[in-house]
Amino acid sequence: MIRYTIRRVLWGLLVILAVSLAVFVLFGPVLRMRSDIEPARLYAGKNPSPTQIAEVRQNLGLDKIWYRQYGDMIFRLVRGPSGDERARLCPNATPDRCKELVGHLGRSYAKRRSVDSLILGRLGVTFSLSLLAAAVWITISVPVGIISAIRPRSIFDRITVTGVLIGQSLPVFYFGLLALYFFTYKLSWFPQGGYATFSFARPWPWVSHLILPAGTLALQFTALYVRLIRGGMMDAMGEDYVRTARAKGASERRTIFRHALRNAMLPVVTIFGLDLGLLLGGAILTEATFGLRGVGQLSVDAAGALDVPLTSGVVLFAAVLIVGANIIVDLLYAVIDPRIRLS
Amino acid sequence: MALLEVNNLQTSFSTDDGTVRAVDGVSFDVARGQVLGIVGESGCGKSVAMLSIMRLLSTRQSKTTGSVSFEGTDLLGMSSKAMQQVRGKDIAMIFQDPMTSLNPVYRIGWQLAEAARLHNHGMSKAEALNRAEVMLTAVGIPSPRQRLASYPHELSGGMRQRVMIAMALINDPKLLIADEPTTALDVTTQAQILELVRTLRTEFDSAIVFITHDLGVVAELCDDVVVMYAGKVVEKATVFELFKNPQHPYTWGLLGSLPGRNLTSKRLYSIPGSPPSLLNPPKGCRFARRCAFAMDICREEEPLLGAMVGDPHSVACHLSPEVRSDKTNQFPEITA
Repeated sequence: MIRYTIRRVLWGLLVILAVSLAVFVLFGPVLRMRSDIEPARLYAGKNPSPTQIAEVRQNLGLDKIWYRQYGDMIFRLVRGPSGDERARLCPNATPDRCKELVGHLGRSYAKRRSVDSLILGRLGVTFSLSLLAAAVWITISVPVGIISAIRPRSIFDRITVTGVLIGQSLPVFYFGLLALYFFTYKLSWFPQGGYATFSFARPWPWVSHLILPAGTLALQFTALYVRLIRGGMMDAMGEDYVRTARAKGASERRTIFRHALRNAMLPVVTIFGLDLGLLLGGAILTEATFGLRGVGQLSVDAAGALDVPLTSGVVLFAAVLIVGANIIVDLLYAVIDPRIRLS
Repeated sequence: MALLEVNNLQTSFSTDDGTVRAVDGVSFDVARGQVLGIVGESGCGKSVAMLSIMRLLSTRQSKTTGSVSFEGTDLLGMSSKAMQQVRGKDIAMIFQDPMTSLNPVYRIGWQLAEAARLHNHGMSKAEALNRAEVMLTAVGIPSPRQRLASYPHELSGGMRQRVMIAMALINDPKLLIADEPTTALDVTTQAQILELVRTLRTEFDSAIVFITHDLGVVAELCDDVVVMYAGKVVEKATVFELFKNPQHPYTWGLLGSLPGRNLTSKRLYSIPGSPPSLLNPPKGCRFARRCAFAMDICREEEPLLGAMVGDPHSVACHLSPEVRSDKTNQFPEITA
């Protein structure tokens, strides 16, 4: 198990390294193939002269050969900005202040702050949204999926299947707007977009800002997970080992929960980990619909502004989350499915 | 009173195309300590009959009528709670495919202990595991203590079937139903499992219903035989009688297709055709279309299972006793 863990983590690091290279190539050399896109221009203020642009290029290190630039990026990712970089990017600040300004992911062109701090500032929104949505969709989809599976073709099952179809067909931005129109505009139950930080003393503002977005986000996932759990449970209930459990004299309840459910949940755990990792990296559509300034919105802004460090930073951040989620899922899988441990 | 008395058991499945009567009026008895073989080709209703007795078929898709009486209690009429108490305690069952019959995510020990604890309230986990170890030893699994911690995928098919047998016998059932327990195993393992069943039979003294399509197995293991064809019982006899004096043309076909009976013939005999659809079974005798001796009455009137005079051998066939007793008719390789 320890060797398996180490192998998974090393493999994950390799994947992140590959992503970083892809991100670097995409936002560096590939972008520069189009001469009209010059990221340095953004940093150089209004109507810069070619000399100013050249100076900015030098300051940003964009004049260096590509593999030196990539090397700098990896060095910064691990150790923070190098002395050379600090001298170029913030010559007037103290070393500590400069480290703050540049961070591990570089300094945003547009926002003039470290990408680290920008992402960190958005985490609360995105994490609250994703985790709340995940809690909602798991709480609903597990029991609904199970009941639907053990009573196939019942009225409950038919309603569920129809609901799943509707839920999966409604895009987040459409359902989100409908929800906003009815619950916020017509009924004034919830505030119009925005976010409030969580506090134990007054949780309501946080909850009220998140109910609609989390509910909307959860809707699609609930539909997907009900389908997944229902299918998995139906398959599991038809398995020979379920018949064996009944033949032993296990009650129907025990057969369902102890014997079938655990097997049915194996694929669900995998997909849940991946979905959560993906969402934590930014729920772009939902954040946009409800005006939540989360990581997803940050990435949209960054791409629109051609803010290379910020875009790469967000992409890398999302990659780390997804790879991390993958590793956790793999380890968890090995715990719940003994067959995995061998291979 | 027999241990198990099955009377006019009928099981039907409703499908989109209509009702399939998989088991159609099957009756047989099993006495205490007796081994009954049920033979017939795939799809003849052997397994469905057993699953009906255990009430392991989904009531949503199937319907079972008739009567199944176990030690005088009607199994079909009792509550599902009461039936749970019977399953695994009084009647245990092992299945055809040991590869899929054990739950892949639980240890062998857990699964055996569960079987013990389900019927022994108050039994501790440690006691149950000790009992499991004893059972693993009884079914010939080497280093049983270690095996308790194994998962099913770490065991071979033969070992898994041994585990299934151990699990079935852990509560000393009065009846063991073995549904083709050797079919999915390779030949050498089959022999080992049969040997095991034979030894356990004397050791545990439970009655066994052994379902198979292999008459060789029946000859080795059973006291009595029921031959099934297309959902019906066509012949019932003691093993000795069945092999010495088979009465039904279908049984003749089965015996004729055994290898080793006639080494001079180049190819094994096979019964021509295939069993009828149970969705729309033919009128009269269900075997008539494949029977070399079929007469007009066979296609019109269904033969009833009648006992032969003076012995417990019964057969459902319109042929006259003289024709049926003529040895030259009984072995198709001679007539063919």
